[in-house]
Parts: sequence; structure tokens; C-alpha cells
Amino acid sequence: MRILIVEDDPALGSAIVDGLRHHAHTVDWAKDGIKAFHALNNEEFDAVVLDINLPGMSGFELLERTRNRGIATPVLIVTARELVEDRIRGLDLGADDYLVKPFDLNELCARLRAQQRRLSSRADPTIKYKDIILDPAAHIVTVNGQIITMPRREFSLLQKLLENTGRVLSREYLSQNLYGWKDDVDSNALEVHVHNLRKKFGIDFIRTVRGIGYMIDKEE
Amino acid sequence: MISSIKRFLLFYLLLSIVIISLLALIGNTFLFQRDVKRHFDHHLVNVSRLLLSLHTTHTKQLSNLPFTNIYQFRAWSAAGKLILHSKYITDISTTELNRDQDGFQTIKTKDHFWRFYTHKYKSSQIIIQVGESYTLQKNLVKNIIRNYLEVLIMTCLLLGILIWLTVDYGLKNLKILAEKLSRRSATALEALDVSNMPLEIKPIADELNNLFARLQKAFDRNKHFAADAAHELRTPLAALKTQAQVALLAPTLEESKKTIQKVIDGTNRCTHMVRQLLTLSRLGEEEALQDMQLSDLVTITTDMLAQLAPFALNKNIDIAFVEPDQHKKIIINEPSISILVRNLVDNAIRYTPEGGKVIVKVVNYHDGVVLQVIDSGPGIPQELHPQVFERFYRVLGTNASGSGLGLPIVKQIADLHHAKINLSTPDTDKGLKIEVIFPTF
Repeated sequence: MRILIVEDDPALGSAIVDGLRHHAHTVDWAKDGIKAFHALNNEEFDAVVLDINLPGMSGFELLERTRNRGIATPVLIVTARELVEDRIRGLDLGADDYLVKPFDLNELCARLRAQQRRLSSRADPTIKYKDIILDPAAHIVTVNGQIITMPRREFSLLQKLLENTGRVLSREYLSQNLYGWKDDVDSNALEVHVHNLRKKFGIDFIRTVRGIGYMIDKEE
Repeated sequence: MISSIKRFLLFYLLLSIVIISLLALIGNTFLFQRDVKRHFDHHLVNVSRLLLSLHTTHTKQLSNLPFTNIYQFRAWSAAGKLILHSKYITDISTTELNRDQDGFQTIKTKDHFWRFYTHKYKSSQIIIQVGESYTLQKNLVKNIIRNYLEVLIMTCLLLGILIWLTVDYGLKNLKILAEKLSRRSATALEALDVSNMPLEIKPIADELNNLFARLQKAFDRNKHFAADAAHELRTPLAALKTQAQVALLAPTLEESKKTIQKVIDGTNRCTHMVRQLLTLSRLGEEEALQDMQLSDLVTITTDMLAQLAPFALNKNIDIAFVEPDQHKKIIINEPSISILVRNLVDNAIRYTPEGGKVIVKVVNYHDGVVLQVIDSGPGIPQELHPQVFERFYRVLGTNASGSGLGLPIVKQIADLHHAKINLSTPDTDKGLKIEVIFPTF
């Protein structure tokens, strides 16, 4: 999933970025509130990890302004502020979850996954489609109980498509989702991943909607 | 004796009263004895006259007068013949008691003192001698002294009780104050109500209130400081933990080594921060610095630069020191000024990019000495100048690992020395120039 990290501390920011990348997420990092606000306004993220004490615009203000604009991206606040009042304020301003520093990287990932589950109204932590089972936490895909190994970007793409069956996802959206703010992305990279997925699950598994993007049909 | 005001007052007040009363008793006894003597003498003269007037008419009866043995009298005719005497007369030889000597005489017999009045009446040429035992006088005086002493003892007992109660009442306010204080918890530092306090206790209460206020300030400062410190350490600790977890996730040894290096850097950063926090907490805000002495700022700066120069050279930074022709001594606390210099120069090196320049100058001016640190780093925008002295404030976009405490430490040390700090952009239009202006007083 594509996650925006909003954190001004260079050491912690880079550590979260590295950690989430290891958990197969696409991560972008904004070092202040204003940059984060622009990013949220112009691009789509699956989740935001938000610090409160930020230069430029505080995390609370950023949260309030994005929610006022109708942007509903799930927000997980990660802050040094441990007071109950701060937690309440953050949650009431529209945050979905709250973690106090120092936190556990695995817990951060678990909470992000839980947010995604809630968003897609799934109770089951795994995603099931026909005979495919995708486990986001364990990072495993099985077909009829057989484990299929795949690189992390391919896994992310599969998860994104399976979470949105019956909906066309644009090439741009998917590309951003896989690569974030990397400039040096090969324009064919997305096609290569789709091609590889079709090789594993069959040619009709992913449907191309010409000029727009890709989709996986809804299960009947 | 001072250990209890109440006992002290009781003891010394009673002692004073007893001493004064005894002195009065001695004086009174003396005066009283004189009066009694005068009174008794007068009495003897009267008895003598009475005898004279009676002896011509009632001579016979006179000898039978019922005089007790504390009185006696004798009468002699002009020829010197004893013509009359009381039933009881002491055996006093005439040598001792001279009947020719007119007036009063005191004579001692075996066991008594006697007072005699002898008078020769010119009209009848009769000599009459009247005597009275002293025992009566003595007993009278003795009785009076004894009564007085009895009254004194009773009075002292009563006074003791009264003094005890009075002092107790007088010290009631102290007791109330002590009780109020004893009921306080260690954190209750609000001022005492001094409106109803007596004049003597009010200064103590006022001083206590001053102390409370200072304690409250120090207490608040420490509380805020601890909270701030704990808060500010959370982020670097979070970074450490996350980096360590990332290192565990790294698929290759090389990658995990790279991350572990980050953990080490982060630990250094935390250490630096803790050191700065300790420095700041040791610099009290109210207490003036101890051990202020006349020192040479140039020497202190040179020593510190010698320690920090290797870091500058590591970053390929050109560091230079410009000292004045004359070394002017100023009154400072050397250890804290060393910290001030270290923080300023350390900051300059930290924020100046590789290949940059740091110049440290000590300049004399008419009534003081100025320390200047000029770097070619990114500088601080004018509008942020007041904020950089706030604790944990870090200028946006700086990648150098600072604690956010360097300049607050500098500010606090400068304040304690009544020195002023100026931030400006150097003449080269790039970087930061910090001046600390020390007055020479």
C-alpha cells in the first residue's frame, strides 16, 4: 500500500521509510506540514503516518484542513505527545489511530493493515478471491493452498487490485501506488508486473481497460 | 536555655521578680526596723512621763503595777536613793547601765537585749529609767519578713502560672504556623496568609513565603524541564528502535550493517542531547553563578578552539581565531563561559557545510569585551531569531543533528553574566554572526 510519512526528524523519518519499505509498502516522506498538505491534495495515498510537532503546519492543523477538504485517507498519528487530551483531540480531528513514540515498527504495520481492513469493511485479515488467498501481514499468496512467491511490488499490485475488484484502477494511480515519488520509474514497469501476474494466475485474471487502467472482475 | 522560649521566659521573668522582691524585702526590713525602733523609743518616753506624773500621788500602787517581764522601771530620788521599781527588774550592774546618762541605751543581759530610757526630770529632780525587752521588736520584724516571704512564694507560683499561660497565648501564632506548615505536603508551596500574624512572626512568615515562591519556581522549572526532556527524547528513541527493527528486517548483511551504523549515530545524538540537558539543568535560572573571577576570555576561547578544531578539520572547514592586541580581563565564571564558547563554536561547525569557514574573534570595546562567532552556514532568518533561543526549537530544513538546546544554553549563561547576544548576517551576506557582549562592570 502507498503510505505518506509526515515526520520532521531526519533519523526517525528515514527509519520509518526503510521499515515500511521492508514491509512491502510504497512510502513517500514529507518533512513538514505544508508539503504533506500539498501531497494529500494532489495524490492518493492508502494511509498517512502523521507526526504532530511539525514545522510550518502542525499535524493537528494538517489533519483538520485535509478533512475539511473531504480527503478521507486514513491517518495514523505517531507522536511524542502521550496526554489523553492530545489523543482525544487527534482522534476527534479525524485521525483513525494514535501511536505514542517510541513505538514498535511491527505494531505500526499491523495498525496500518487494520486500517485498510476497516476501510474495505473486511473482518477477515486475509483477502480471498476464488481460490486465491492473500495474507497482507504474512506477505504470502496461496492458490489452492500452494504458496506462490512474488516480488514485493507485484504483491502490492495484486493486493491493490484484489481489494478493488470490479473497479478500474488507473495506470497513474497504480504506478504511484507502486513507486511513490521516485522519478526514475520505467514507464513499462507497471506492464511488466501485470504481465508477470497474468503468467501466474492466467491471462484473463487481470483485465486491461484500454486507455484507462486495469481491473480484476468481481467474484460472482 | 534558649531551646524553649516559653521556659526561657518563665525562668528569667520569675528570677527577676524574685530578685527584685528580695531586694525590696531587704530595703523594707531596714526601713521597718528603723520605724519600729522610733516607735518603741517614743513609747518608752511616754511611759516614763506617765510614771513621773503618777509617782507623787500613787506611789504605793505603782510598785504593784502588773508589768509583765518584758517591761521594767526604776526611779531614784534626787539624793540617788532608789525610791521605786517594777516587780521585775533585771540584774543589771550600774556600771553597765548608767543612770546619770540621759537618753536611750541598749543593754545585753544573759539572754535578752533591753532598750532603756533614762531621764532626770528637772522639776522633781527624780531620775526615771524605763526598759523594754527587744524580743517584742525582733519578733515583730521576724513575723513581717516571714509573712512577706510566704506571700512572695505564693505570688511566684501564681505568677509562674500566669506567665506560662501568657507566653503560651503569645506563642499561639507560632504554634499555628508550625501546624500549618507540618500539615503541608511537599508540593504545597502556596504563600502563607500573613494578614493576622503578629509583628514578630510576620518577618519569618514573609521570608518563608519568599522561600516558597523561589522553591515553586524551581519546582515548576524542573517539572517542565523533565517533561520537555522526556518528550524530546521520545523521537530520537523512536528512531533508534525503528532503525534497530529495520536492521533485523534487512535481507543482506551489508544493508543491516548500514542500518546499524545509523543506530550508532542515533545513539550519539541521544548522548549529545542528554549531555546538553544536564548542562542546562545545572545552570539554575535564579541562582547567580558562584566563583565569578577576573579571567581572560581569549585564553578560554583558545583552549576550547584547540579541542574543537579537529572536528572542523574533519569536515574540511577552515577555522580561524582572531584575538585582540590587548587582553582585557572580565569578571566571569570560567567553566560556564567554556560551555558557552563550546556551544557557539560547535554549532558553527555543525551547521557549516563542508569546505566552509568559521571565524572566532575576541574584540575589545570601550566598556567590555565581545566574543564573535561567524560561520558560512545557512544562517538563521531574521524572523526566527527570537525563537532559536527557545528550548528544543530547531530551524526548519536543517539536517545537522542538533539537540535544540545549544542556543538556549548560550542564552542562559549570557544572562547569568548580564551579557547581551546579537544575531546577524555577516558582511559576506551568507551564514550567521553571533556576538556575545560582555560588560566589564
